[in-house]
Amino acid sequence: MGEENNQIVLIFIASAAFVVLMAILLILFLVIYQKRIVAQENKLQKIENERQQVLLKATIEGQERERKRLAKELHDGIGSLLSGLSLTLKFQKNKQTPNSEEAHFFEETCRLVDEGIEDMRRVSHDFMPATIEEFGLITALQECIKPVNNSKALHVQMKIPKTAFPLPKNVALGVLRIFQELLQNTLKHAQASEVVTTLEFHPNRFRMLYTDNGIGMKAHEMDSHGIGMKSIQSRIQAMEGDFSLHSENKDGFAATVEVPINHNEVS
Amino acid sequence: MGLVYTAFFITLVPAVLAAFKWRLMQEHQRWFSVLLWFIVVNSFAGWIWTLQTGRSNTPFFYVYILVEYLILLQVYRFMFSESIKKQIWVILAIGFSVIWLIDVFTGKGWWGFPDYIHALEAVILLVIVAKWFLKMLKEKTVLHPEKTFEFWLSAGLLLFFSGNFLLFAFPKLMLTAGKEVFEAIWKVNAILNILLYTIYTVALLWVKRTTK
Repeated sequence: MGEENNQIVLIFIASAAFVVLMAILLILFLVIYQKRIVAQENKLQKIENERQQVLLKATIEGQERERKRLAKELHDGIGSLLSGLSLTLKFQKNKQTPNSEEAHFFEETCRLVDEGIEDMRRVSHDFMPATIEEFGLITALQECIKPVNNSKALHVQMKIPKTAFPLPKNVALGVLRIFQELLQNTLKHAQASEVVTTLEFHPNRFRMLYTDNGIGMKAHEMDSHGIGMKSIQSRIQAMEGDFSLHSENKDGFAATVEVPINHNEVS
Repeated sequence: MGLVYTAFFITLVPAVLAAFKWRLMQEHQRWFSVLLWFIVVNSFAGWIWTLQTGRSNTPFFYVYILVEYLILLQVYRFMFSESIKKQIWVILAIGFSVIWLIDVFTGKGWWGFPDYIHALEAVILLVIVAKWFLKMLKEKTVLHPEKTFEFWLSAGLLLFFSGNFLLFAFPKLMLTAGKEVFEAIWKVNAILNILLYTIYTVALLWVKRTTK
């Protein structure tokens, strides 16, 4: 090869090598830059998730506080008023001639007021079951299933291990609300005859398996659009737990709730 | 000639790997595999043609350029999904095919070196690759781009076409300077070919089963 050709080859090779080197540097820069911005994005997302978590917890706590206040107002305010009214009516009824029109009127009114007192107690109890604060989750759950079992519409069975221990108040209340929601769903839509709930108490987590033998749910009904499901998901998210559903058409319904337990929160 | 033969036979590596990975592939990766198999068939056919007839294999090179361009367009069409309008891809495909036809039938013909058409292919594909890298940066979703098929494919094309661009853009330099210069410069092309197919192999190694 002549001197001129040598130069041509050299210039060509040097230029190609330079371009390739630049391309390699560009690719390296892209990888490093991409890692940085994605890591930063993930960090921001994490902060935002934590903020949402705090907000969600605060909202749920606020809801529970408000329910408690309403339950107290109903029980102590309207409840006392209705009890007083019932006593007065009964007193008035006793003063009437037996079997008179007035006596029947007072008797019917007394019955309606007593029904109202009973309804008010039930609503107040649904707002804030006193048992969960005083006796814990298991008693509250048993109290919750008692009227359902008494009605014979559905047989609810609860499997409780001997190793059960008290859960933190927020977890107990969250689990109770989720159970109530699931039970309502079964009663309203499942056409089931039996519900089996198994509670598992592990050192650092609590698990509840809920199954019914109803008609199951279609895939599109299992999405998160229903208010009930949304409420369950919010509570699970606030407790940093897991929730999964399994359902085949006409093959029953199963839900698993799993929440971590922070023993420092037990009260 | 060892380097040139290595560059020739290395095309088999990703082509064979693509066959093994076929079942795990998404649609754009399958198109890419088709391209690899076409390249193997075309290269061997061109080689046998030259051995049998003693004539240049540039007709095979022309066909190779058109098919490579069209399949890579198809691959990137899937990679960009909806972010680039369908009409743009159609214009790019038809526009290039028309220029290719003009070059083949009214320009240099089958036996001339496909310099301009190859340079045009390089420019268009480099722009598409650059656009894909920008899309990746804009989306901010992939934390480890180096663990994806799409990244390695784009990196390979960027290195190959940018490194070879001088060869495609200034072919007279190589063709008129004599056989020795041609062979020396062609070795650069062979090295870039080896690099490209090695990167294609790495890209295929990152083909994983997608979860739905």
